[in-house]
Amino acid sequence: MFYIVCALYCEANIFIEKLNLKKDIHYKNYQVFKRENFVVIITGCGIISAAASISSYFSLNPPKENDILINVGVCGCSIKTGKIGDMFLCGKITDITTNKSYYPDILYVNSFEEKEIITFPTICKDLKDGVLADMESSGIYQSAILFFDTHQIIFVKIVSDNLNNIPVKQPEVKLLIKKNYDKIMQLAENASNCVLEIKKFDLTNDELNMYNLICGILKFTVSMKYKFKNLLYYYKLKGNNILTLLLEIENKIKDTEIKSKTEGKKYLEYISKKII
Amino acid sequence: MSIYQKKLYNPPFSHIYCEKEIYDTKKAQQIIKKFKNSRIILIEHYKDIFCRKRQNSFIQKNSQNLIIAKNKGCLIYKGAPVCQDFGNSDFYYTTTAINCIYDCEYCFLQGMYPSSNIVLFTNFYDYKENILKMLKKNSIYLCVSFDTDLLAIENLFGSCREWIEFAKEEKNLKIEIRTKSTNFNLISDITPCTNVILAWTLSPDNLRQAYEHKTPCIDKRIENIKKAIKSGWKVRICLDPLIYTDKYKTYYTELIENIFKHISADKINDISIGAFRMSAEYLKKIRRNRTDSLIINYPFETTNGIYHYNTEIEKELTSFVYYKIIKYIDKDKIFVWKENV
Repeated sequence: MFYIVCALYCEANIFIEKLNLKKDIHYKNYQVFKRENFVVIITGCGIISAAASISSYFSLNPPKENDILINVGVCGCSIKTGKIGDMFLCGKITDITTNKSYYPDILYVNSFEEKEIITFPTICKDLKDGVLADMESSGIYQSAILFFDTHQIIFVKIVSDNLNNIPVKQPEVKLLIKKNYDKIMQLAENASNCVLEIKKFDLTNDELNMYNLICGILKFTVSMKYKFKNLLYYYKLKGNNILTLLLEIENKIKDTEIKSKTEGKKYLEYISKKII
Repeated sequence: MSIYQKKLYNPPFSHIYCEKEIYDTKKAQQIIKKFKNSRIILIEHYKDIFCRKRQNSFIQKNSQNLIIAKNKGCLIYKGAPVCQDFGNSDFYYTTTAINCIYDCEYCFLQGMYPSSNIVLFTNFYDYKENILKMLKKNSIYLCVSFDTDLLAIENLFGSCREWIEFAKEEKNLKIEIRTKSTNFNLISDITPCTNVILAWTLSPDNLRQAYEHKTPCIDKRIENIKKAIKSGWKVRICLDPLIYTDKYKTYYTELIENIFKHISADKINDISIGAFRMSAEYLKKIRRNRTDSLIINYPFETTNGIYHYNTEIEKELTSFVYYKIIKYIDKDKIFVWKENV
């Protein structure tokens, strides 16, 4: 799943349109749009709104280890740092109120320039050169890290103003994001490809059912079950068919009545010798 | 094709995190200058990045970054019980760097640290001061390349050179620099020092290819050993960890024959052998991520919080290697972890 988090509807608009997302009406305090593998969450402005919306959504819908969360939003910076429409990736987020910094991993190949972003509780009017300013990033990171790993969170910011007190209109924001849409999606695809490569080797449902059946017959304790599973896992990693082995074991023990832990242990030793 | 080959990940050291306090120091700048295309991010403390919550050190290994820091914590540690002390009672280890550029499936570092980014501590003077204080009380045997491979990163860090130069002045200090690298040429200009042992870890090449990702091949390591011996260095060979496989007899026979075909036994300072063992805590953590590793998912036994092969296999494996080695080298030069033989 690919989650796009925006503070405002106008920041999310282009994703909703291009990905043909539909509103999920179950969420009352923030907006959620989704279709297939894409979800857009519109959190509202400010650190608390952003953090609360993310916590709420992902408490109800826990993400998986191959999901990606990308925060796309507008930011301000000095004219020397970037001009309107410039897009940056953020590898350092500093919360101005606590002076604490957060660092999402930047592992995936991208064509973005990088900058630190400082999150302010109110509109920022004065900012040093070389950094960006917004009102949500630190809240999003602190909340998202409860659900995602550091490599699953990406911050993309597009300059919408140069701290000159000229209000930015919603259609302009939409246009700024639209111009960068392809680059953002390319980064997202790249990140997704990386996390999708992480394949977990495991026992199949059939193998697990058989394993549980045998554990039950042999009255294995928790530690014996762990050892048995480890043996099966290793046997499978070596390229063997464990279902055949499990069937063979089941045939051998199906009429057995285990009366003590020691008897179960003897069977476990027998299996262990067969595998190692 | 690996993910890195497909260029989905940033190249290694694309980002360098440097503590603000030491950013302007000569050593930090020397390292930073080697990475002209990397992005520098200033941090307050190395743990702000190294000890973040919810890192996946296995994914990070695809794009390792560098953290340059000052070590303000404990600098010298008492040797761990799972480590070979080579008969030295005052056995300590220290680390001027954390983590390694290689990716060995069996490496304990994966379970020990929350991140696979490499930390370089630039305050060598503090390490020296600590050791000098300890040397006033007794002599020290110090392993300086346990939690890292210092020689593998010598071109960017230069820590082996610093340790060797220091050891030259302190005769009561004996140091071991352990490596899998083939970077001897980076220190070959230094006059050999009798209280410095260069230790190479060797494994059968089949096992290296299967489990020691990104490491130089065994023949090249043996070539490096030959060069080091020829230059007059004391060299230790570490056949540790010994890995049990169906073909271990063939693999270790070939390795041992290969070693002694190229290296004269009387020139080797000593050899250590030890079957694989690891703290249960570390192994469990590694198993969660290396789900497809045959070596890590082996059904080990556990004793006092340490995972190891069952006693029978451990003894069989260690004895096999031991008796192969004693055909070539004096028993007194062989150090076996645990009394298996």
